[in-house]
Amino acid sequence: MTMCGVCDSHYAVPYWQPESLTESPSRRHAPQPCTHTTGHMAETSDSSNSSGSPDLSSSLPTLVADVGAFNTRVSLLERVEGAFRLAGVARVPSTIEPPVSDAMLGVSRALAELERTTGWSAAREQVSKLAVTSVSLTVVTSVLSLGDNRALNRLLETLQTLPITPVDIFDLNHRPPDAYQFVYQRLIDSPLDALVILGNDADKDWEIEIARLGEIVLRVVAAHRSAWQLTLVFIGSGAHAQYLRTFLGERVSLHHMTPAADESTRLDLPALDSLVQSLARAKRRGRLPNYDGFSEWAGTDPTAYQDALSRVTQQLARRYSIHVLSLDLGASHVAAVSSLPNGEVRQASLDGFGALRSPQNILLEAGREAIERWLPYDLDESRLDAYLLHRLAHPAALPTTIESLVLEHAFAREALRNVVELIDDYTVDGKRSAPCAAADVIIGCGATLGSAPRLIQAVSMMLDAVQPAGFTQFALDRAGALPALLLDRAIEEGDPLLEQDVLLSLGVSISPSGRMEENRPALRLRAGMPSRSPEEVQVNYGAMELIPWEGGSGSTLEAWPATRLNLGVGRGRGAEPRAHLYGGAIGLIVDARGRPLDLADNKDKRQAKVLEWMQSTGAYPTLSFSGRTN
Amino acid sequence: MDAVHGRVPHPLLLRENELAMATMLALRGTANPPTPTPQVGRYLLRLHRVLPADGEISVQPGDKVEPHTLVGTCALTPQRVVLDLASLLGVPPDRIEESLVVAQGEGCAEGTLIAVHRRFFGLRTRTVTAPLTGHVAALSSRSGLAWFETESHTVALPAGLYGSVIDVTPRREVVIEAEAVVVRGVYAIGGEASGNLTTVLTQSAESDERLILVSREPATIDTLRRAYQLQAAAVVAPSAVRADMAALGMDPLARPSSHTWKGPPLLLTEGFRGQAMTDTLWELLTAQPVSWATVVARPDQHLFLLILPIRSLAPKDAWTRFGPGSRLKRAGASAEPGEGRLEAFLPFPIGVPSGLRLSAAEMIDTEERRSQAPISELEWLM
Repeated sequence: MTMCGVCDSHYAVPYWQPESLTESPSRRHAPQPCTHTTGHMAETSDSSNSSGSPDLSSSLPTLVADVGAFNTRVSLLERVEGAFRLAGVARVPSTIEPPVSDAMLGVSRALAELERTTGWSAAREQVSKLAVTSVSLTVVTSVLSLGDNRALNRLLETLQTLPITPVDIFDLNHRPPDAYQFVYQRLIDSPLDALVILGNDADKDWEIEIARLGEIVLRVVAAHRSAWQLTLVFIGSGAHAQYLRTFLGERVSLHHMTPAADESTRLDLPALDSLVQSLARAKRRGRLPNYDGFSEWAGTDPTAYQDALSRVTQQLARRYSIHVLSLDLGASHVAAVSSLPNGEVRQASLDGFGALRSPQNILLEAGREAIERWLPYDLDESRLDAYLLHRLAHPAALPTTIESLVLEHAFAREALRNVVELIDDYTVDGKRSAPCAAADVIIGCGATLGSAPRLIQAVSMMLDAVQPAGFTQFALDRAGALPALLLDRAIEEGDPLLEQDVLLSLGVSISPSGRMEENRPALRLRAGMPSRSPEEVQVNYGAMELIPWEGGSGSTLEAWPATRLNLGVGRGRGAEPRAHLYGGAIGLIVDARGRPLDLADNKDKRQAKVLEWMQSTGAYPTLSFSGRTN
Repeated sequence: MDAVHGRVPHPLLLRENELAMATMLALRGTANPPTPTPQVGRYLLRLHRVLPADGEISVQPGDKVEPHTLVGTCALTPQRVVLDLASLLGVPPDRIEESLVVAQGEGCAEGTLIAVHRRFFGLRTRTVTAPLTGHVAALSSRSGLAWFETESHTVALPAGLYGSVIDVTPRREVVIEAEAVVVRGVYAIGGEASGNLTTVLTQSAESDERLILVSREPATIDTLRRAYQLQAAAVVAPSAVRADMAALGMDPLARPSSHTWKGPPLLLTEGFRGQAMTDTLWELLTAQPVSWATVVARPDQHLFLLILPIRSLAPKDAWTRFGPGSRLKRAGASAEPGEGRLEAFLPFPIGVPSGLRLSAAEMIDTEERRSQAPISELEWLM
C-alpha cells in the first residue's frame, strides 16, 4: 500500500470507484490522484488496439466468444441509449475434447442459446466479433543450469516475462552427488513442453556434464510411450550445443541460443521470446480443434485469455490509478496479473493447476497439509482419494455435499496461493515489486471463483490466498464476460456501465497486519450512511465479520486498529479510505485475523477457527461436517 | 519389436500437441456433456497417425485402410548410455582406448566385458561390462567417456481402424477419416491398441491375433497380470480399485509420466469404486457384428476412448447401403405416406429393448412428420 506522508491520523488509500464515474462525465477520464502523495495519477486513456479487437466506435453489436476447457461463453454487447452494455451471456459446455472435437460447435450452440434467451438474432444484424480462448495458455518448462547464480537469475528474469509454466529450476553448479538421478526422476514426473539448459563456458569438465545431460534427456524421451517431442533450448557456446546434439535423437528438437554480450541486464534473447511464443501458439492450436474455423469466425486469431486479462487489468490500474490484482482460476489452469498504476505488470499462469480438472497436481505441489489447513474437518486418506478419483472421472461435476464444496475451495485457495507467490517472487534487476497483498482491488474470474455458490465464498478464497492488508475492494466476473472489457474503445469512450455489467462489486475488506492476543479487541470501526447515524463495531483479533454497508456518496468509514496492528499508516493509527467506497453485494468484510495469517498448528484449534470463520461470514450452510444438521 | 514385451512398441503413435487421436468432427449434434459415464455416440472421426520421427509413409490420399494396414515406418534413435571409462577403470582419459576388449561398433550382449585394466600384474583388475545389449559407439580421449548405444529399432505404424486416407504429410503423418462409434471412458492408461473384442482370453503365444479383453466385472490385479501374460492388446473393464492400479505402477492419482505399467492399455468405463459394467454397454461390446475396436488411453491428455466401427450399431451390411438423408419407405407401403427420408438411427441408448443392435430408425415423411420405424420393415430407395 502506498504510504502517505502528509495525513495525520488517517491514511489516504486509492480505491476503485467505477460507479462514481456515472455521476459526472467530466470525471470519467480524470480519476482523482491522491493529493498527498505522488505517482498516483492515472493514465486515463489507452488508444492502443493491437490485438485486432473489434472497433466499437461503430454502433455494431459485438459478440465475444470465449472457449475454455469446460465452458464456452458468448457475450453480446449492444448500444443501449448510446452506451455499450452487456446485453446477454450464454454458456454451454465446450466441445473441444474427443469425440466431439470442434470448438466452433460449442460457439454455435452458445450463439443459439444467446439468441434464445435474448431474442436477438445474429442473422438479422451485422456484428463485430472477438475470439478468446483460455485453453493451453503457457509452455510448461523446466530449467537446468550449469551456469553461475548471476547467469541463472538473469535467465529467470527473462523467462518470467514469457508465457511459461515453470516447473523446476535445477541449479547443477553446486550439485549434490545424486543430482542427476533426482533431475531424471523429476523430468520423468513432469509433463514438459520445453527444457531450457543454461551452459557454462568456464566449466573444464563440460564434456562430461553435457554428455550426462544429453543421456538424461534421451532417457526421459525414450521413457514416454507416445510420440512426445521435447523442445530443448541450449543457451551457451556453439561447440557445447553441437556436442549435445550428438546425443539427442529425432525426438528432441534442439534450439541453440547465445546470450548477448551485455551481462548487466536480462538475457537478451529475442529468439527465446519468439520460440516460446510460437510454442504457445502451436500448443493452443493443437488443443483447440478447428482453430482455423474459430479464427475465421472472428476474422482474426483467438486472443489468449491471459493476454486479455493482462490488458484489462492494466487498463483498470491506469484508469483509476490503483494497484489491481486479477485472479483467474479456471478448470485446468490458474493465472494472476498484478498491475500498478505506473504500468508495471507482472503475470503468471500455471497450466494443469486448475481446481477442477487436476486437483492432484495441486496436492503434489502444495502437499496435503497445505490443503488440510483450510478444512474444518479431518481429511483422512480415503476421503481425499475418493474426492480426487471422483474429480478425475467427473471433472465438471458439481459438489454434492458441503464437505466436497469446502474441499474444492481448499484446493482453490492453494492453487491461487501458488500463483500469487510466484508473482511475488518475480524480480526485475534483482529487486522485487509491490506484493500482491498490497493490491487495492482484487478481481476474481474463472470457473471456480465465478461460479462459487455464494459470493462470500469467492471473497474468502481470494482473501485467504492473497492475504491483502489494509482496505481492499473485491470484484467478481460472475458472468464470465471479462474479455468484453478488452474492447478498448468502450473504456476510452468512458463506458462505466459496461464495466459494471461485467464486474460485480463484492465489497471491501479491512485487514490489519500484525499479530496480537486472540479474542482481544483488534479493530474498531465506524461506518456511517446518509440515511442513519454511524454504526460502531468492534471486532476481536482472530475473528471475521460481515457488516452490511452500502457505502457511496455521503457514507463514511473509519477504522482504528489496536496498538499492535497496522492498517498501513503505522501501528495503532486510525485510517479511512481516500474517497467514497461502495459496499457492493456483500458490504464490509472485517478480517481481523492478522497478517501474516496464522493457522494454528494444533489441529483441533485450527479446525475450530476455520469453522468459526465460515459460520461468522455465512460462507457455508450451517451443517455439521459429519453430515447432520446442527 | 519391443524386446521386453514382445510386441510392437508405440502401436499407434500420436503427436502430443495434437488432440491425440486428433480432430473428430461431430456427425450429429451429440456433443459431449461435461461428465458422461460412459458416453456413446456415432461420430465422424479424423484420426492423425503420426510417426515419432521422420520416416516413410506408405499410403496415399484416397486409399482405403484396415486396422492392420501399415501406414508408415520409421527408425528411432537408439538409447545411449554414457560410461565414464576413465574413472571406472582408473586410467587417464587418453588411455581408455587401450583398455577396450571389444572393437568399437562390435555388437555385444548385456553384461559382456567391454573394458579391463590390470595393475600390479593383474592383482588389481578393474572391469566394465556392457550395460545393455548394443555396441560401443564412440570414445572421447579428452574426457575419458565412452558412449554405449543400443541398436536402433523400427516403428511400424498401423492404421488401427477401418477408414480412408484423406491427407498425408510426407515422411510424418497420415490423416484417416472414419465413421465410428465412440465410447468415452472415465479413465484409461497405457497408450493405444487395436484388436478384436473378446470376453475370454485364450490367446496362445504363437497366435498373431490381437485381442481386447472386455470384462463385465471390475479389473483386479490378477485380471491385469493375466492379460499381460497372454499379451492382450488391451483391457476394457468397468472399474478398478486405486490400490490395485498403484500396485501395478499405474496409480491414477500420480502424474501420468511417472507410470511404470508396461502391460496392455486399460480403459475404465464406470469409475474407481468397483462398479460393474452397465447392461447396455456390455451388450454393445459383446453382441456386435464387427468386433474390431481401438482403445485410446492417454491420461496426460484426459483422452479415454474406445472406438468401434460404425457397423457396430446397425444391422450387418446396413451401413454400406444407407445413411442419414437416404430415401426409404416402409416395406409393402405405398409411396404415400410410407415414403420418407432417414433422419437418424436412434441414438444409443434410448431403451431399445434388444439393446444396441438398432432395431429402429427415425424417419421423416414427405409432410415432415417424424416417426420411428423398425429397420426390418424399411426398404431403401437409394
